[in-house]
Amino acid sequence: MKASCPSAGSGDVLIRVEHLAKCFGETVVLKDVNAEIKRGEVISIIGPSGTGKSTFLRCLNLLERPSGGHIWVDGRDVLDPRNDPNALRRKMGMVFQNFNLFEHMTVLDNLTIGPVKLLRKTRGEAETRARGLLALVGLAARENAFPDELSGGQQQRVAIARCLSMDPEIILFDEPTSALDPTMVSEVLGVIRRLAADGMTMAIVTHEMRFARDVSRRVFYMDEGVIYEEGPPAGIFDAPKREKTRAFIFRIRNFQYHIADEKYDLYDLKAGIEAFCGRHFFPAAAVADLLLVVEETLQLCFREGDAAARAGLVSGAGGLDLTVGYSEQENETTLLFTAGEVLKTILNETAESDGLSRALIAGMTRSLREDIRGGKVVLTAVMREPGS
Amino acid sequence: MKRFAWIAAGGLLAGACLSCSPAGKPAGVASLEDLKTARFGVVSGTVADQIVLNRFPEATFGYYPSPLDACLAVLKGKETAAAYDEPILRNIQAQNPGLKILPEMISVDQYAMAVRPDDRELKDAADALLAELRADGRYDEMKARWFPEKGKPAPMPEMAWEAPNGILDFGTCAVTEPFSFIDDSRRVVGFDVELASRLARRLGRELRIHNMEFGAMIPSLLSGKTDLIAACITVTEERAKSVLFTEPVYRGGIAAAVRDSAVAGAAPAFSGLADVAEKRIAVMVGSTHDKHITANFPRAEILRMDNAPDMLAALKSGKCEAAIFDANAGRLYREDDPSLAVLAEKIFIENLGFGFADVRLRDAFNAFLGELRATGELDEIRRKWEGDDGAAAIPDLPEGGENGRLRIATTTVDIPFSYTREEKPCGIDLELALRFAARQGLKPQIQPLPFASLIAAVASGKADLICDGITITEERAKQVAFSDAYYQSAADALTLKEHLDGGNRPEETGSKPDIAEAVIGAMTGSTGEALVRERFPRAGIHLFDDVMDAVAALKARKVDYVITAYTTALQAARANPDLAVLPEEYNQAWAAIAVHKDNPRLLERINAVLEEMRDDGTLEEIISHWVRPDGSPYVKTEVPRASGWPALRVAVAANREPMGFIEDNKIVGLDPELIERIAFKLGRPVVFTDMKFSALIAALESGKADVVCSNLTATEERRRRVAFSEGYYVNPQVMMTLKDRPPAAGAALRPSWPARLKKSFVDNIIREKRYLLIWNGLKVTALIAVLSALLGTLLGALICLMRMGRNRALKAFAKAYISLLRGIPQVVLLMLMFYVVFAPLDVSGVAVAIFTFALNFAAYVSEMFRAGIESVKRGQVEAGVAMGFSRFRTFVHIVLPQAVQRILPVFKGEFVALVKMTAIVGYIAVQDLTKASDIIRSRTFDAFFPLVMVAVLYFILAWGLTSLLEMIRVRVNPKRRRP
Repeated sequence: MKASCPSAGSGDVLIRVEHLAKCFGETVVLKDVNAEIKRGEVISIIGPSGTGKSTFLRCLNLLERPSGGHIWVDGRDVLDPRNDPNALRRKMGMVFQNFNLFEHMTVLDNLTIGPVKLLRKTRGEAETRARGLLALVGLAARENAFPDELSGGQQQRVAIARCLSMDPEIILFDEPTSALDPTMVSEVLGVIRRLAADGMTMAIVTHEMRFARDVSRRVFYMDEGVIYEEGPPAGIFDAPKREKTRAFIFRIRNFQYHIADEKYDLYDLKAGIEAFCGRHFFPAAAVADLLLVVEETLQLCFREGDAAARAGLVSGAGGLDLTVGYSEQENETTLLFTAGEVLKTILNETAESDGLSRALIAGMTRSLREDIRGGKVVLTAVMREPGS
Repeated sequence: MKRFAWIAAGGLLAGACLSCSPAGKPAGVASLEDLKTARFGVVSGTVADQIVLNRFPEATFGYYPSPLDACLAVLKGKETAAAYDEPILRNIQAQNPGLKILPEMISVDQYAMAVRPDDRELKDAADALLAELRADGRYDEMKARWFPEKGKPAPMPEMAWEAPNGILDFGTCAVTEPFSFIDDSRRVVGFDVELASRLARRLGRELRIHNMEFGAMIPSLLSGKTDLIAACITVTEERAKSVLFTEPVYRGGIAAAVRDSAVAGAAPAFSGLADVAEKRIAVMVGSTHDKHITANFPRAEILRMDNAPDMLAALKSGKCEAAIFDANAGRLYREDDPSLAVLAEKIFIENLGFGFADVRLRDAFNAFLGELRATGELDEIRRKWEGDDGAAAIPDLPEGGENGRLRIATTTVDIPFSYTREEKPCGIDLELALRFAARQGLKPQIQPLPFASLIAAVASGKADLICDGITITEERAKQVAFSDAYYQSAADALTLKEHLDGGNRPEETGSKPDIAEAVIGAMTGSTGEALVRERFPRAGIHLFDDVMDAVAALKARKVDYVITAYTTALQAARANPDLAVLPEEYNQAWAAIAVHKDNPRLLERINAVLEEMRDDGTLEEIISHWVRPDGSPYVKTEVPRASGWPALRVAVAANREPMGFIEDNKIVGLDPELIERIAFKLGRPVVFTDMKFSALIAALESGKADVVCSNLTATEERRRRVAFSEGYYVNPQVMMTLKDRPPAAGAALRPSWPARLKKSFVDNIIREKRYLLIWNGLKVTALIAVLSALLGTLLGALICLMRMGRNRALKAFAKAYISLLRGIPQVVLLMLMFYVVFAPLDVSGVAVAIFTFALNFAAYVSEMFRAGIESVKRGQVEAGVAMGFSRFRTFVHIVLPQAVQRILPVFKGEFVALVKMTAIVGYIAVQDLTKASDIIRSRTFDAFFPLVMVAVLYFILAWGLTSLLEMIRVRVNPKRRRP
């Protein structure tokens, strides 16, 4: 039975996917994926690791053979054996996490091999075009370099240019910045933004939420082997409708850490906070302030007065839970410490306190409040903008 | 820096080849005092160590289970001396050459028999017997019987007697040879046993022997179980307290056995094949010699080798003590190398035959052989090749071929049967085979094969005929059809002269120690030759037919000295100012005129004339005409010619100025003038025949000449063949040498190593155009290496494809192929291919070699390819595919270029291994570089040059081919091509 494309003829739909399933042996990765990508659209695909985002993308150009369902590209059933998958792939560029530039070729050759061998362009034509594309991605000067002589960011930009050299109708990005140093992420995202602005159709699997929000027309949230929720970025990021989406969005907005007793791993905690801050592009001063407030608060909680008694008390109260939250709209960072009610206070102050820690915390927070809610002691601190 | 390394390597090589320092002789032990601080081997449990310590407090000890073990340790040099009872040591020494027992003993003891203290009667009887034996000489007889100088004790004499007086119980310990031991027929015998027997006979009692532990003898005596005990029992005070000793039966003591320095190096002289029965004997693998030696010398260590040169090399390098050759070959080797000698002649005699695959062909050959035998040609052929002096050749034969071809398999390195010279086939077998082929109208094709492969070659149909001095055996006859015997061959065992001479080699001390080791040139069959062989057995001899050749060799430093007659030497020195004639005269033999033995009348008349001439001074005058030590010109006088009849036919070797030489096409000189004058007196005209010196005697014997007057010395040996006149001139043998090499300086007179290297180079490479052999071998090696590498690479790619593909059957096949090929030794695979797989097909050895190496190479490179391909990251393939390339084009454009880059360095290594591996193709009759060196070595017996040359050529070949690969690698390196 050959399925017909329901939207065949409606010219603006480039890719249509119905009931796409993919399993590797026993493991079901994609259960039932249904989606449409229109020309000129930029789609971001987000979701927790291992939910089939990359597999979905690789099924689109048949790098992975789907186990079931249908894919139409330009109204053609790509799973129909009569259709040449190689011809399909020429229309769909792909950018890989690990760049995958041809290591034995110069940058220019990487960009010309496809057009010359596959599109039957003359070498001259292909080189002229390649040089234009290299200029577009900012690497006009490196055409004779070999891949291993370029930085990761540069390699990825060449990879994007290589895709463009084939004049694809869509580019599939498979986590294009995951393998990059943080310092190189933005140069790659910059190029993609530029393509988006030029109206290139793109599907991007990414963990860069801010980028996803900025650049995409629609966002697919994938979970449980399906597109769990989709919608415009504002909808997904600010008002997710379904539970898992909400949890995911919350997790990427907030940093949570549990401190069981006084033997907590301070460095692990700090590294977690720093990573979180990195994702949200916190200025360095803000990160330092945040770390200091956390550290001083914990100092007060555990060390003031009779340390042994306090430690017992904290562990008796079920430990401390720390949540660091960031709201983009308000550009506001909130620190939340909670513990069992028996602890009574987190900012433990005794007669011997010199008040220095307290003063430090107060100096760096806009508001600092401790109260008891629902059987828990809650300490809420809103960070002040550094330098203000 | 590089050049330095080369020089260093060259130096090392030269050093390794040319330095052959004689092993230092261990200092001989002459007297007991030399053993003051020595290490002694003693038997554990004896008191010998205490006795030695009493004498030499500084001695140390090694403990052995038996005196024999202690003595063997001495022989092997582990201990300096063995200390034990002298008679027993003497017994061991007699059976183990190389030991010496020091005359002075460490302690002196007496051995006696013992009886119970109350049995004085028996003691008296024993003493009386001893006195009697001593008196009538039978004691000495016994001593000679039981203590021989050499070898095992003689058997015990049979004795029988009436025993009316009961039994004599005799206790002994039968591990004290020669006093008491168990002989081959399991009887207890020995010196003490014989004594006891004689005593029992004397007493009329039956002798009942109780063999027991040494320590049990005295208790058994005291408890009455025995009446008499004896077994090398030392008389001690302590023992005398409990037993009654007879008079001493033997005086001995603790002696020291040391290594006999005369046979230093523990190399006992060999006198026959039995002496090497437990030594190493080299034989040609698969030969009848192999079978014979294996069957008859089960205790020998048999080295089975592929060819004669290897066997000779093994013999000369001390890797074996004897080597078995066919008698003819052995003779030629001996002539070539004076250090070889015959150990045993005619070990056995065999019939040699040709082997055929086809009985009809065999029958045709038998008929052909019968004809040759009838016409005497067979004998002629045999004689020609046995006496091959370098000029023998197979006559030109008509080019056959109208009836097909004849594939002849043979080793081509087996003198005198089958060998090559100047790339031409030589030898009895090859001549027979080629003549046969010509007769049959067959085109001969000679396939060189190792001896061991010959039978297989004909059995598998690879050859029509095999010939190589092959012995006809029943076993072989099962596989091939043998012709009638065309030759009877005896096997000889060769060994090094020094083994034969053993320790008795006279020391050539005195005035000319250097000559003794030099290479000396002599005229074939001359007195000088005999003289050198006799006086300087260790010198090398090069024989020449012409003194001029000898002088040329001297000047070319191919020989160190030339021995020749004084006059000849004088003359040579006149022509060559750089020659010196040494003053020492090696003999004072008279030159005489020789006539046929059956012609005493002529001899008488010649003697009469000589007598007359000596008396009237004519002889002196003639001599003065020609022997002119001052170098002034000869005096030539016209001798009148008699007109009588018949003419006197004079044989002369006219190459010895001034004795006899050719001037203005006339034979002149001392000898001609003398004989002309004699002939004139006899009234007969002279007809001279100029011939080789070595042919003179034969000419006389065969009646081709009446007299020989050619400075011929009257030696004993020659006297047996011809009759000599009175001597007419004393022409002593002297040595010539080059002036720049005065022997008095005592410098090494062997040619300097560059000279030897040059000689070796000329002999091995230039002579007989041997470079052509090497060049052709090199081409074959290169061809096999390159073609099998190409084919193997393609095949390897195919195997790799199967191995990496999805088809399970192909994958399993590829896996099996790889592990199978990698698990079979190349040489075995090669022979399998040649003798089994391709046996029914007519495929040349080169093709089989190429195919086999390709198969093997494929197994290795396919895995190499797989590793190379798998090392290319998966992402590269994905990127290619995602771009729109098909899988195949992705492989071609993306994967392959990267894989090749990674494979090439490993591939290079494997390729070099392949080049070197081709050295084994000689096994299947392919004449490659290695085989070429084998062939050369078989002719020159020189290992150095052919092997070094070939090693260098292999290196150059491998290096050149890998440089080519390296060039390719650089070219395919993308970074090199960057604009």
